[in-house]
Order: sequence, then C-alpha cells, then structure tokens
Amino acid sequence: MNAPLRQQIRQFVEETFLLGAAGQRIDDESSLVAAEIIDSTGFLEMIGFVESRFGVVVDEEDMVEDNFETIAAIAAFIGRKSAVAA
Amino acid sequence: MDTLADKPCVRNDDPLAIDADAEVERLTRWIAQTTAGQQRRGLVVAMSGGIDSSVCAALAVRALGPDRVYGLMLPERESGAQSTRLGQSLARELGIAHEVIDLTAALEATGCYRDRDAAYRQVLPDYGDGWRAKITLEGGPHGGLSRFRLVAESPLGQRLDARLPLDAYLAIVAATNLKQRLRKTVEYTHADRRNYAVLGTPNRLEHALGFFVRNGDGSADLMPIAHLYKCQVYALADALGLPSEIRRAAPTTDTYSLPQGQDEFYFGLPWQQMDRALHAFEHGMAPAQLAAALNADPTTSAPVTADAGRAILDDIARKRRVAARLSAPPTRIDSAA
Repeated sequence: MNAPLRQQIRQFVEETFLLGAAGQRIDDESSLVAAEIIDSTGFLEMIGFVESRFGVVVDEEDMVEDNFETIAAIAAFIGRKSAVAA
Repeated sequence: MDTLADKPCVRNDDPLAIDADAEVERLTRWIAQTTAGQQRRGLVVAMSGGIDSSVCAALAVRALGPDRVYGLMLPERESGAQSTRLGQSLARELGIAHEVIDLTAALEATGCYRDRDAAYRQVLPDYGDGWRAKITLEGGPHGGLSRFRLVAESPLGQRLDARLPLDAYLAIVAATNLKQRLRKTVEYTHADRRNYAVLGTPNRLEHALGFFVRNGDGSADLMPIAHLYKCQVYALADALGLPSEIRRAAPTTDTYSLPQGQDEFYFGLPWQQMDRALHAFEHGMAPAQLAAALNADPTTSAPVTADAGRAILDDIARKRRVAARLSAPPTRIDSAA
C-alpha cells in the first residue's frame, strides 16, 4: 500500500515542483528542503494536496517539517492519519 | 520613557552598540559620494513617517542639503492616518520640497482592493464594506511550518479569523505587494524627471530576512541603512534629532486596514528580539546562546528555551534563502554556473 502512495506523492512533486523537468531523481528518503525543491509555499501546496487527494485532515499540530520533508515521511504521515480516521 | 533598556545600541556593553554620531558622519559621506558616483543630482525619498524612511531622509539632507532631496508621501485609502502627517511634518522640518500623491485611484484601477477583497471573502464570506482585516503568521519562528490566518473585524467590532488556504494567501499578498510596487514606480518617475537617484529604506532585518517586495521597496539605487539593526536605526534617529513622535511610534506594515505589527505578519518576534536573533545567526551562535541573549533582553516576557532558540535560527535560515531569491538579478542562460 505504501509503494503506490509514495509513487503518487512523487508524481505530485515532479509535476508541481519540478514542472516535469527531466533529470532530477528524487529519493524517497532525501530532504525536499535540502534539495531546494520545496519552500514554505511548497509545504502549503503539499498540505493542500495531501488533504484533497487522500482525504486527510492536517491539524495545526501536524504542521511541522518532519511530517512533510521527504516522500517517505509524507507517506508515513498519511498512513498514520488514515489509520486514526479508520 | 528614555531608559538605557530602551536603547541597547547605545550601551557600551551591548554587542549591538554603535557610535551613532560617527555612523551618521560615515553615512553622510557615503551617500554624497555614492549619489555623485551614480551621476545623479539628488535623491528621492518616500517618507512613510516610520523610523526607517525618516532616518534615511534626514541622512540624505545632511549629505546633500535640503535643495537636493525630494520627499514623497504616497498614501492610499488604507494607510494609517498619521503616516502622511508625520512624513509631511518631517519634510517641513528638514526644509525639503515634497508632495503627497494618493495612490488609491491607481490601486482601484489595477484591481488591488477588488482582488484582495475577493480572496478575503473566499475565507470569510461576510467580509464587505466597512470591514477591516490583516493577516497574521503562525508557526515559523514559533516552531512548525509557516502559515497564515486572516483576521477581520466587522463594522460592529466583531472579530473573525480563519486559516488561509494557499490560493487566497497568494492573492492577498499579490494585491498588497502591488501597493509597494506602485509606490516604487512613482518614486522612479519623480527621480527620472529630476535626474535623481532613489533612496531605499530597508533596514538590516528587512534586507537580510526578505521583508521587502521585489521591484517594490526592495528596489533602489542606494540603501544607506540596510546594514543597520533596527535598534541601531533608532540610535541614529536620536543622533539625528528626529521628532520624538517618530522615534516613539511602533513599527507597522501600514499595508492592511487593521493595525498590523511587522512581527505579526513576518518576523514573528518583536524587533528588539529579532535584532538579537539575527545577530546570533550571523555570529554562528548556538540555540542556547540565543536563548540566553533573548532571556537577558528586557522585552522578553516568557523564558525562551534552547528548542525555541533553534526554531528561531532555523526560521532565519529559511528567511535568508527567501531574501537571496528576492534580491537576485534575473537569471540568464549564460549566468555563471
């Protein structure tokens, strides 16, 4: 279940932040901040994507960089929130 | 009240202390040399009545004399009532030619208020005539991701607030940035007709941390106080003998219809603490050292932990990346790699 989730997030990152530009390989565990792919506005876009695509509510206390810094972290966050909601 | 605690930059034992009289002399020479070096005959200064533009205007007059400085007051319908009054009164005191140009009609024509109000209503549908609003920062220096809330007040005094989705936030910022960009356009028009240079008024906090609008208040021909912490700007204001009403006023953005401090919208900390934090960042201090410096500052009310210090330093690192992007020249395909 996590692999397709990560794939959906990666696709969003590639389309939205990299504008489909070829040549940049994004590792699931590498920081999107350190790679200068995502900034404070990018985080808000990512949160909007997570909420609308996966039906997850991102609460105030969830709005920390650790939850959204890597593709793996975002997938894990969605997994945790979905499990709580289920 | 004038106390030493109010003026850390004149206390000898403070790391931010400067010799304000010597700095005024140094900047006076620099402004004259730089303006001449740019082959301009004088300076245009937009005067908001705030401490930064007032210090810049007074320095310009010291450098070039009153006949070579032109003051502009550029209010719009949401500017604070005292901005123009304080700007005009200082211009008269400095003996410079000046002019008030109300930008409301131009901002209406370019859709500034209309587009912004539509974004307000996206979040608070009741927002309408007679309401006032501002946006406030959450997270960031307080820990967590930076995000914004809209705070609005009805004509009857009812306050509402709501989290801003990204599209509404961007629309509001774009509309309010238009105010700064229009001001700069008008400044350059008046500079062109006199063959003057435009004096930029950002201080070090604003310049280093990106609290300016690209092609707006971030644009200028020379910036005489961009190296000075805010408390050092106040020290210069004292040395220049600026009116006490200007030296005592709390800094505001003067951009939103509800009163808004710069700390609420961008910095997240009062300027006194932001001075300490930027100084700590620039000197490679550890979070615990910053926390200690903040806890020693008289404006700090609740104790600051090392974790809070780390969140502040991390936020400064992020803001400096924004600042670099905002002030970079256009990238060309042959820009050096």
